[in-house]
Amino acid sequence: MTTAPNVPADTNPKAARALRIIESVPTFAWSADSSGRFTYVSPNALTYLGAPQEDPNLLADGDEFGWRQVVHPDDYKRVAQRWRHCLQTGDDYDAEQRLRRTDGVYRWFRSFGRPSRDSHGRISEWYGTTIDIDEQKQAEAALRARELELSQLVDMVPSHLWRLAPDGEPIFFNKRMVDFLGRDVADADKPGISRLEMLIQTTIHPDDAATLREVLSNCLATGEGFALRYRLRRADGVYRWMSSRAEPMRNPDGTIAQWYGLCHDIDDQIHADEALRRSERQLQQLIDTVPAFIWCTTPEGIPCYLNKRVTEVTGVTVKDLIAPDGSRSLTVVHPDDRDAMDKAFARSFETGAPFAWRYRQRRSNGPHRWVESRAEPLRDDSGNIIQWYGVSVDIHDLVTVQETLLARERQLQQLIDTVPAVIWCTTPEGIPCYLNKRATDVTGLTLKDLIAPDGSRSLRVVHPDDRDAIDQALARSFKAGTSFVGRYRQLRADGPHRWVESRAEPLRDDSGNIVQWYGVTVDIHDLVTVQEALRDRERELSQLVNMVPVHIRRLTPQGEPTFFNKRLMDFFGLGDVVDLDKPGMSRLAAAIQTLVHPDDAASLLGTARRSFAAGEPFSMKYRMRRADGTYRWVDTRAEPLRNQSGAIVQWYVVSLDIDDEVRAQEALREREQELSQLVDMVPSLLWRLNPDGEPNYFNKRTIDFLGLDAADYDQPGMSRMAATLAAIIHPDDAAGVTEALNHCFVTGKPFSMTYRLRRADGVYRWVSGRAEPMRDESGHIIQWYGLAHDIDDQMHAEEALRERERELSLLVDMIPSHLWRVAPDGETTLVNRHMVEFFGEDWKMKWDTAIDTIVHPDDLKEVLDEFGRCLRTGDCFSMQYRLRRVDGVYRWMSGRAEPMLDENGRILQWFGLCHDIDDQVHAEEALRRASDKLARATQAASLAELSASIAHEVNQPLAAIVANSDACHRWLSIEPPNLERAKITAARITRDANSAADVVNRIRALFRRVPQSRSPDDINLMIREVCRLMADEIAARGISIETNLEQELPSVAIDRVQVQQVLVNLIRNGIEAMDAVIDGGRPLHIRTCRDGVDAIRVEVRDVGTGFKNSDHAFEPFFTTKQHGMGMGLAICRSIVEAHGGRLWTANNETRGATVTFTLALAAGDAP
Amino acid sequence: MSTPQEIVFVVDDDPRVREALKELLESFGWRGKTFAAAAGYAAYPKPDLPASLNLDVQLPDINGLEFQKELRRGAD
Repeated sequence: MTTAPNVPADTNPKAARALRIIESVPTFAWSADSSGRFTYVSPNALTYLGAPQEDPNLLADGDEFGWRQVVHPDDYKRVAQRWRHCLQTGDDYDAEQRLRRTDGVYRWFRSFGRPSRDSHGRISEWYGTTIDIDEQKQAEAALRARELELSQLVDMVPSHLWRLAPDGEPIFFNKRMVDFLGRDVADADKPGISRLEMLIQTTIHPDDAATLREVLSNCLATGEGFALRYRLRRADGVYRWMSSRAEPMRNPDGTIAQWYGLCHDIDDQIHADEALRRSERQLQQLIDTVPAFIWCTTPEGIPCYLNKRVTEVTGVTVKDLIAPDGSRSLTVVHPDDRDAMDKAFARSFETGAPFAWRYRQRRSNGPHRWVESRAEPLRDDSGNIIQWYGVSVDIHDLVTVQETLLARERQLQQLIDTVPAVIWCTTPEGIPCYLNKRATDVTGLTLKDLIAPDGSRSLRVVHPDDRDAIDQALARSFKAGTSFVGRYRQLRADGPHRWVESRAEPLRDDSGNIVQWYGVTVDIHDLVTVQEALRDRERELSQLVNMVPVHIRRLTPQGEPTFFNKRLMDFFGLGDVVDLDKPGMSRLAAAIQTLVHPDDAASLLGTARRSFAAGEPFSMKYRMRRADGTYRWVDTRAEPLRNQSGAIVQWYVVSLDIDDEVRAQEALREREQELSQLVDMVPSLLWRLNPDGEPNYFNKRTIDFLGLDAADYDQPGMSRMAATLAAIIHPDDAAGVTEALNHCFVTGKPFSMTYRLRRADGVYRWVSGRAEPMRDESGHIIQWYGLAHDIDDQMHAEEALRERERELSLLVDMIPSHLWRVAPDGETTLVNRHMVEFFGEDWKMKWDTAIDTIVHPDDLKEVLDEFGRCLRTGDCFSMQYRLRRVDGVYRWMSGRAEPMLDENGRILQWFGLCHDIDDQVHAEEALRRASDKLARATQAASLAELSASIAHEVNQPLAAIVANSDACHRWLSIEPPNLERAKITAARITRDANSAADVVNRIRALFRRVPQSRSPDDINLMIREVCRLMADEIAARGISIETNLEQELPSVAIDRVQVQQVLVNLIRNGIEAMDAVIDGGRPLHIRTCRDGVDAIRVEVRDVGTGFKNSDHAFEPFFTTKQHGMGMGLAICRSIVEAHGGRLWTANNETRGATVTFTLALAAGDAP
Repeated sequence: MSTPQEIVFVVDDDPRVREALKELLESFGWRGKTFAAAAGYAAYPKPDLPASLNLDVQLPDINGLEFQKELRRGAD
């Protein structure tokens, strides 16, 4: 405020009136120029300020606005600044400041000013008022001070204060609560959820939230006071126990306006350690007790006062405590404590010493409770006791807690002593100060033993090898205050050291100084042992991985090698897996390219990649390159290791060096091939049977031979063996072979047999089959190995040989001659059966001795001479001589002998043959006689028959001669004459004429003989004679004579020559009839038999052309022969009939004809 | 010399006779065809020519007279 400028009072009436008004109102008025200096100040202002009326600005001597002296120094700067601002900007001025009254007292005023502008808008004048607001200001200040005080109170009380709306919504938290929660009441607002619920959910411990909701909602509903303990979440997330109370404030109408609450942090209280809690409880008990159990006694100890609480609690009055005799009564004290109590009282009252005692006090509601009573005397100035003031404190809980604590302490001690660990404490300097019982039990040492004589720690319980290390570690920990951990071997009372682990932590006080070290030593011997075992095992495994003779490697799930075991490294000559890396390709590809045989690399890489992509294990054999450059075969297997979710974690690959095996296998295969070739090439049939005889292998040659393999014989319903045998063995041999084989299978004996096998082309061939069992170690037969050797050719040769031998033997024995063999020394080495039969069974020939007895005496000398000469010279021997038969008959023999020479010309053996020519000699004689007579036989034929025959025989050539003669004549007669043909015909004429002459000559010869008389004769003998006679003719025509002559035929009286002529004729006819027979043999059968009782019959049967007409056979001129006279059969019939017999012919059923004649036994002369 | 048209068949079992008759027929300019037996003649395909047959009585297979009767029967 400045002094107002003085305005002349008499300028005009209107102005004067305005001035009066201004000056009358209890408000200061003023005006000022644009520079801010007053142009007018109302008089009342000037009066207040005590300024001279005439020039208000004079007050501001040397002052900016002229009011520095009246404005309170604390306000001036602010007000002046504002005034300057308004002067510059033209803003309205409004400010409050204290103005000094004339008596020096400052009072608050409020000034308000507004600019007045001229026609150009420039400020010409400021007009303002200043109002006394001091009382208002004072009231306001008082209010603010009180508000501040309250706010401070609310904020500073060590509790949370809060307000809730009647519905429970929080509407205010005090600062302490805001600080605690870390947010104000509205900070957690969210739509859709009440502020209270949000608060409960975010700040109340979950275990307490439900209770809080329940209790609070109950209170809100009933208006009852709220009290609950719960845990509240501090801004830092820590829950702290709170004791919360709230009471409603009600409106005059009784409705609840608001709830006021208080929340007290009792967390420290609750969480304080046991000592704190105990002391707090004690204090609480004290506080609770002091105002209640107060008593006074007279100096003599007679109770004279009890406070009301004593009575309430114990139910006793002062009167009750005074015995009838006026002394004190201790009825309220537990009987057990009463006497001691009484004595203590008496002593205190007697001596005046303060009283303190604990006892059990009987309560009105029942049980005794422990109470501690204390009493002190009040003395007057002279020291006399005026009164005793006592207080009794219920210490029952304390005592109980103490007992509990004691028990717990005991338990803890027990725990400490019994836990299987050594627990120890040391001073901050590391000197042991506590050991639990177990320490002593285990180590046998007491605390004292662990303190060295010089007061430092002793580590005598630590193994000497570990002692220094432990000592240093302990020293470090104690010095630096860091945790201690150490492992060492602890010496046990019971002997051996055991591994233990010690740990120690320092306990620090609030200022961080170490108060004590707490340590624990745990037996980890087993653990260490296990660990050592594990380490050993790990080492073993590692060694195993490196030492096992396989190559092990580990690959990533993508197949990149990450680990090779040492053996593999050594194999490749690698130092590290990464050495394989090559730019521009995966390590797998690089490794395969470097380490795998080029021929195998591509297939391995392909297989591996497929496997890795599919996650499938793979195995492969390929060649790996060893460090020395050689390739070796390996058998590689890879398998993935999967985690629980099945994803591949690693691939493990193992390679086994199988190079030697592969090579061995190759060698084996080669050998096997060789053997197989051998087996197939050997020129025998090889086969194998199982123990039951089922064929399970044929070699190639067998298959080629049989045309089928072992399995091809399988047939339903029969064993392979049976099927095979049935198919391949000759039916005649099958049973024998089967039996022999089965016998072998049962006995296990080798099989050996010769039989015929059927070749593929159906030909059976002889084989020599053998089989032997192969046995295992225990002697059981595993297989039968068999061989069949083709011996067919051999068999046939053998058979042929045997046949020949038999034939030769037969020949030797059967030839009708004597065969013999003589050694060069003359000893007989062989004679044939015929010879033995001749000389007799018991005859043994020895030339020197026997020859005299067998050779006819007339021939002996010549034979000996000749044979002796031959033996000497080697000349062939040939002689005819008579030998004596066993029956004594000498027979003519033709003996021949020839020597067999070796290559040097020496004689090995003499082979001799001695032919019986006796019959021949005799027959020759007989034949000679027969021939003589035969010519005469034809004399028996009648002349007529002869004539006819002769005519026919002669006529034919004559007819031919006539025809030829005519032809010849003709050939010569024609012109020109055919001389050539004429000559031919002339030659024929000569020929035919000679033929006719022959016939005539033959007939003449027939008639020269005379008839002979008949004599009995043997017809069979006669037939044999004729056959022998005609032997040459028979042989020349290829005819075989077969005779069937009945023995014992009676003799017949016949003309021997004539009958011989008949036989000769019939035989010759038969022979000639078979001339035309080309196919087959030409047998001529001659048979004799009886014909009835008085005749014998002779048949001559041929297989020739037969008779066309048998009736003509006997007619003259009839002949079937090309060259014959046709008179033979006619003559024969006449001879037979002359002997009283008959002769007839018949064609055979099949072929040829039979001529039969009979001869009468009692034959008379021909009729 | 032209081929003779006339033919004479001769059946005789004696070769010397057949030979001589054939020679005689040819010397007269006739053709002679000889047979050792009647069967041979019977089986022979006879040309359609003037012909005569000279037949022997004793023949190996059949009597010449009988054969003549058969021929006559066959001609009827």
